[in-house]
Amino acid sequence: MSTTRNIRVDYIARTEGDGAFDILIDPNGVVKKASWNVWEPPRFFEAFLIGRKAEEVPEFVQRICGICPHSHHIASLRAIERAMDVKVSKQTVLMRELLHYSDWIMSHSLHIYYLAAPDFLGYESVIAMAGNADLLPIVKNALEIKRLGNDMIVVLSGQEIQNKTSVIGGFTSVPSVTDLRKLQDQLKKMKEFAYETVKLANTLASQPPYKDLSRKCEHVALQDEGKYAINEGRLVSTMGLDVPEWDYPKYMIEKHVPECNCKHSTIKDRDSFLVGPLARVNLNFNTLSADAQKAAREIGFSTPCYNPFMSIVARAIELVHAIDTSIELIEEIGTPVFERPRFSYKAGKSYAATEAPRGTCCHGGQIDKYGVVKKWDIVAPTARNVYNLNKDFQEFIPKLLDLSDEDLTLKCEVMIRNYDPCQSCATHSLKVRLQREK
Amino acid sequence: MGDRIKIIGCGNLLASDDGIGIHVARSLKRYDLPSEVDIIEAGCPGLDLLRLWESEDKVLIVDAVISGTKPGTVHVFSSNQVIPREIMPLSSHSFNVVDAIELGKRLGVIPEKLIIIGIELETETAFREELSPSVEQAIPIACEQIIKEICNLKSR
Repeated sequence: MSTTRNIRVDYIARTEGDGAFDILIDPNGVVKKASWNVWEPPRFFEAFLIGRKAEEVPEFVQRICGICPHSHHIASLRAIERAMDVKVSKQTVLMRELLHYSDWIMSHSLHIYYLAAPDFLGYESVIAMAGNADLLPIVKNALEIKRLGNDMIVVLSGQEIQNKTSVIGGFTSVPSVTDLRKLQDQLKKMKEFAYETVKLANTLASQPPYKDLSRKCEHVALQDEGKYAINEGRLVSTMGLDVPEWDYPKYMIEKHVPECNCKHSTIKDRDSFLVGPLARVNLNFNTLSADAQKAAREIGFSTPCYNPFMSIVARAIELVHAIDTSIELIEEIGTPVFERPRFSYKAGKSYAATEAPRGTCCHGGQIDKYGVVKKWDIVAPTARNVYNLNKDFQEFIPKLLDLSDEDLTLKCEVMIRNYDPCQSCATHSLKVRLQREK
Repeated sequence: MGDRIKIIGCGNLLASDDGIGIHVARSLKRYDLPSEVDIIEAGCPGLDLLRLWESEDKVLIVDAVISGTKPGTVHVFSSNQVIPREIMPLSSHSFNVVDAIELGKRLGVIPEKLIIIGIELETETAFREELSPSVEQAIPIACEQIIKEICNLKSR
């Protein structure tokens, strides 16, 4: 390779939010620069929450995202409840889990079928994919499964996307058992499609060059007792991290970097890390639903897996798990009983984390005795992953130098989409620039 | 659904003129409309349009367009026409009404009569709630046009 290659994509389709990537390759094939820069403008959520009442925080923060509103919502609820010493009922815990799994079902199916599959199959978009008669039924089912996620949110929260019923201390209204049973039937119907999705995802990620691209890095996720972590747990990693979730600010360190509106994250005294479905499946495989584990074994998936392109497979495994667990949760909730949410203001400071579809989502801060927010911290999973993705670029691009600029650019986009980035959460579309030096 | 007519207003109220579809949908409520008309504000639905129009025979979509004509120009398209994809605004996952029509046709989820009222925008500046005067003045024109279309749909 005797020329300098510069790949720059200034707008990446099928991601949430705006970001760009810039790659500079010198004449010897050495990658001199490979960076993903989020240029989505900061949204100043942390700043405008100061001076607001505690109960407004979960209401505001679910507006951060239209795909994972409840990841932010529940993390902030739990941080506030811990700070003000508010206890919630078992039913509330179960309903919050069901609410959050509905986000997972919606988000994972959107990502697998609409955002990622067209990449792996070489289609410009899901619309083009639907043009293939063999793939048309898949697209149809994909729409249905995503819709199921929406329907669940409507039943639980009174409206689509952001909820109206979940508050500090519990829920202001509960769904009817009839509506929950209808959802349960729909979930059972979609189960087989989700199971087949694992096989499809594996076929996609097993194509060259993806199957041979692995990079060992620290994987971080919440770990819960006796169940797959979603709304709470200890923060654990593949390199021995094991700390209470509320200690995340001590162990997940952030720093500002030039040219990027998103801070870079490292684990204290170590390096970049990965959060998201692959990290979760690696760390919590044994608590996945029985059929999710079975689906994983059938395709020969083994942990730990450090191939970031297998994230789509991990996401599909989690889709099976999310459906199974939602069916069980509805069973366990039975006939919901209305319990008036109660709390009183108390000065306190705390942090909490949830597992958003794209990884660990952190919230927390300080509240005074009048319930006024003095300080608030929000770190969305995409922000945790930005630095790690930059490292993927540095590792993988030298192995892909034989590709044409066009193909290499596409592969870089796939690398980015593995992370299912939500750049509007992180601080929106992506730009790639590849340059080869002469 | 038979005689129902569904009007779907699309747009982002926080991105200035992009919110015109929502502004028009709200203004329509002040008119004396036939009882079979339902008006919904859909935000930026992207492919969720399929769900919003499934089992509907007659649908009108109101959205902004970016085609280079004079701001405030009211365009009328039908789903039987070829609508250039690039003139319609995109949702956050880069899908728009043209994508929804194309996918809907492939999946067989498409209203028999589907009309798109597009209003030329001047600016999509984010974090601005006001409409440009050139676009705001088009609201009554778009409403009158929609009422004409409702009459046409009713007579079919």
